[in-house]
Amino acid sequence: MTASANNRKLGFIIAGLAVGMVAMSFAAVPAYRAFCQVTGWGGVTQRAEAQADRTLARKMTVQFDANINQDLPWRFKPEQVSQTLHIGETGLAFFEAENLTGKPITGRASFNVSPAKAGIYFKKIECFCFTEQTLQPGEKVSMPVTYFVDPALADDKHLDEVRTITLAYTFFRWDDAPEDIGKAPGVGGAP
Amino acid sequence: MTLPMATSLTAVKKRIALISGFGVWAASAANAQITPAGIGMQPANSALAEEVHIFHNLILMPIITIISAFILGLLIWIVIRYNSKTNPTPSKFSHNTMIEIIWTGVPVLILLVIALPSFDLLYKEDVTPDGQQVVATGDGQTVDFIFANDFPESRMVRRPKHLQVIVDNGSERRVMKNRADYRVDGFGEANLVVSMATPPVAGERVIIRGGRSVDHRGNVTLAPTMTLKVTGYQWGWNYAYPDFGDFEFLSNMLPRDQTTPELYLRAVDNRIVVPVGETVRVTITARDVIHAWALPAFAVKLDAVPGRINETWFNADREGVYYGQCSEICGIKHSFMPIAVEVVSRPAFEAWVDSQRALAGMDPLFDADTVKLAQGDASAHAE
Amino acid sequence: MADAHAAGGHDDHADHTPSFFARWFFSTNHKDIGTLYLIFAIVAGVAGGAMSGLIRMELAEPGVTFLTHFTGGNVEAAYNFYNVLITYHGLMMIFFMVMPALIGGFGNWFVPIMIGAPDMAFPRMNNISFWLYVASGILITASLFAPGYGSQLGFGGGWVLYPPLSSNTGSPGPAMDLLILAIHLAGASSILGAINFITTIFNMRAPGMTLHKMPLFAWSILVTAFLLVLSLPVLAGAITMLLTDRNFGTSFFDAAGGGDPLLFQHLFWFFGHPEVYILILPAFGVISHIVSTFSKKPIFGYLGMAYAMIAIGFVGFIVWAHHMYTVGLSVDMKAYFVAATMVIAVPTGIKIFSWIATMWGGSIEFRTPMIWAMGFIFLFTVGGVTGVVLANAGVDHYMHDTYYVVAHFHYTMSLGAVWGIFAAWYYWFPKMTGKMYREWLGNLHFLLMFIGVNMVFFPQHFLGLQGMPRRYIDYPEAFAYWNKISTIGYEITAVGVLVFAVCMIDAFFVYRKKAPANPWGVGATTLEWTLPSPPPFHQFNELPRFDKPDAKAF
Repeated sequence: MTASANNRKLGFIIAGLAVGMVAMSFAAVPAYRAFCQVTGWGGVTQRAEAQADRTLARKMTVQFDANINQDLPWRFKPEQVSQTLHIGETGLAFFEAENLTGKPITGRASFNVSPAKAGIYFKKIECFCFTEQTLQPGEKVSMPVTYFVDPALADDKHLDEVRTITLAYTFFRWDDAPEDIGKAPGVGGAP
Repeated sequence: MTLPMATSLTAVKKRIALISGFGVWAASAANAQITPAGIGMQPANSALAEEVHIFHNLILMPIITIISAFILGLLIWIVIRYNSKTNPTPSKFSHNTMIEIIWTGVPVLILLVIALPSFDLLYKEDVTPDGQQVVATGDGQTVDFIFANDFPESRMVRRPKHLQVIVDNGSERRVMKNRADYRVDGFGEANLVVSMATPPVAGERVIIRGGRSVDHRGNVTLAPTMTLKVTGYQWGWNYAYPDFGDFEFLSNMLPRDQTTPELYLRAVDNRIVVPVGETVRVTITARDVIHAWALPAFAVKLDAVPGRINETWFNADREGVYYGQCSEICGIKHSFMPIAVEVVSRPAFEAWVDSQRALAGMDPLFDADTVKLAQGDASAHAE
Repeated sequence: MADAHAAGGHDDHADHTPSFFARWFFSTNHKDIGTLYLIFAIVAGVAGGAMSGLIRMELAEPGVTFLTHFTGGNVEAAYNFYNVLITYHGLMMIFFMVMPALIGGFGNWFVPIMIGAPDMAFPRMNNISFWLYVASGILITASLFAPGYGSQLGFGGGWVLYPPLSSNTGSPGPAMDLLILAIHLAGASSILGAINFITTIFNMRAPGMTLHKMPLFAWSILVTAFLLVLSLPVLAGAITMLLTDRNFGTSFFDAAGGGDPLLFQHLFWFFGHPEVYILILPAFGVISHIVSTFSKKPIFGYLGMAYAMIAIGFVGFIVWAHHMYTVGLSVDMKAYFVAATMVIAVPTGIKIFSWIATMWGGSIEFRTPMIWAMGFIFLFTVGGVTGVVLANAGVDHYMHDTYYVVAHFHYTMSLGAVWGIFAAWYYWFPKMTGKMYREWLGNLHFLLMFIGVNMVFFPQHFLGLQGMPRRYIDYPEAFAYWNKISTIGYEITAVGVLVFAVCMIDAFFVYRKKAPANPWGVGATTLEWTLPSPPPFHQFNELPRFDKPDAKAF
């Protein structure tokens, strides 16, 4: 093999390495999502098909937190501040959303729990997470969340000090063209 | 509730002064925590922040100063001893296994010295305190008091240092000494019995605090009594107190003409108000871009990320107003969204909550005799 | 592989120097391309330095008083301008000054010579790399003048480009898109350059020059090239996703569509942390040669030095989240990153101590490059130890995004990498130009800059400890004192840079002293000193050989 062919071969190998790294960066997207989903990392909650098979004497307070992104002219509140349940006991909570404008708007909610380390043990049987909600002008809806705290939490020493878990939702606008981007409804008043 | 830390305030102050070193390190009141031309950290206002100071000022800073001075000294020595005039013939060595092992091994040891307290501090910051307290009133005869040790296995009261007994006669608080003033039976069991050496006189309150959240001063830190909900936006902060009712308020920087020159860029129109000596859980999010909520006096800094909440906590030592500034670039007015927290006594806090509730059209939550809390473990603050 | 080498790839070159236009625009000669890179770096350095000047002038006193002169008194435009300045200052200095200078400039110039190769492996690709950089420079300049937030010009979200501030939410205008494309081109250029360096170093070393005989500068560029190939594509991927989020409705980083803005930070810092080693490793390489040359001693612990760089490069890939201690990582994750980050101190310490051991017992001539190299060692030590402080997440919760961090990374980058660049410049200037400079001007330049930059950045540790956040256009009065000192330091530094300019003009036009092949004496043992100054257009018509048992590259 001549020197330049040799060079070309090595050059292509290194270039392949670079292309591979680009591919890796894209592969990181589903990998990261799967990682968060599996480990509950960042407070990602889990889905469950059925209720827990046992309940424990230990109690857990679940606080509910509702947020709206700046682009979404809705009102969004939990209907109860908190619920204190035995670990493993199924809870049912409601969040209320109201469209404050005169036109239909679609929103989508992201969610997590804090402390983040509780994510893996927070199981939702039914929720409105990541399903699109379209509210008609002035419409008010009550959205249920059925959940329980996995009894396996009690076996994890890292969570022994946890007495309160906060479940938070943030509603984002999910339209084609949110026209009021850059404005924060109701929170003007910068200095 | 008065000062929760039963060690006397002056002792704490002395210790802070010791940690902080010279006078220039302490802040003047007018500038609220920042010393003009100061060279040290802002004064700590929590046990945890104090521990951060100890770690930085007594471990990290001395180590890095010594290393830098050592390298500088070697360089100066080289300039003096090995310049071409004093040492015309260079030696030719290029290996010395022993010295190479030493300069690999010694840094590893130094790093270990740093790592141990570092991890300790890191995990302490992560664990929200879960201490519990029982308050009983003496009748002049009873000597045995019961503390329910109902923690999960790894958080149980197992050793004398996990328990604190304080006697409060209304005008003075005394921290009792284990063995001298009381004995404890049942460590690691469901119920602990604290037997006082002498029965507390009638009307005297006996406060028993237990748990693994023991700060570096030896005090048991109690579980949070409230949640502060922080929402960052371009360019200000929104605060809510979900435990105390459905009210929230915006906190914006005061313009130059509405505050003093010292406090401009830190003073806000609506301060956060929290009770002194109580653990405050803070949940943080944002509604547009990423911001960061920071309070240097409490060594707290956490990003406000849209679409998710983050959680941290602090427990203020002293009353007063403490300032922070947004610490993640968030657009053109990033410099103009300060954070101000006012630490007040429990009664003042309750009065403030009720005033906020009144503004939002709600009935008072607290009244003079009974203390109701929206949620949380009542035993933690039954007094 | 060395004996398979032949100069076959260069037959198409005439042996004479090509015409001006062909030489500088279609150049395939590694030395000419290196020169072009150095000129590019000087232009970018002046621009980036001017930006830092504007920043320091604004911060000289509390209040927004200086930048309003540039915005017609419009205060909000001044706020935006400040953010734009800090953003582009960072990008300019990293992508357009330090990288082109150390890798494109000195790397191109001296790696082939040091390993005894006639040129780079892919001379035409080398040319493409440079001109991609120029195109990138044009795009980033254009982005400065394109609307970003509202009607404000430029992107002001910091060089880290975090969404949502860099997405449509925070910066809807085309400035950000242009910036992304500029970084794409700069990244593509660097990746091509890295492929070129790796191939050259692996395939074109002189006969008998094994990797373990190779000069440390070539080693440093080799490690750097691998870091570039492995890290830059990740940045390219991340900013491509950002671009599609902005323009094509994807939601990689948009929480509204199920994405996560923190994923961008992970990807960015997976690139960003190796990037800081990309900036400093070539400087490490240069310093090794300078220290050895002027001490008239072989490098102490050559193998340890080479493998320390590999170790630093490797560990650099597994510490990225120490830039993200406050985003809400789990505590175990933070603990891991604390431990991994502190490990870097060990190979870095090996390098510092090895340089000192190289000088120990030497017969040191304190010529200008040596003074710069010694300055580098001290300043980099200071920057390194504050890095150990910041590695501790427990303390970083206090320090994060304060001026302490600014001071730390300027001590490693601005006073580390830039010191390496000046040391290299003074070391190789006679070789590259065939001219000497006046020693006392070089010394004066050092003295002024050493005093200046320390005055700029040392007080910033105090500001950080006092809690002053970074990227702030205005600050409370209590921070005024150290900010003033810092700005005075900048002024001294600026005078130092002027002295540098005078020194160079003097060397070219007034002093005009011809440089011998080896101006540094017996200590200068690498191959470039065997060639005349400046080297001929084509060097090594007869390849140097290192296949005798006792032969060493230096």
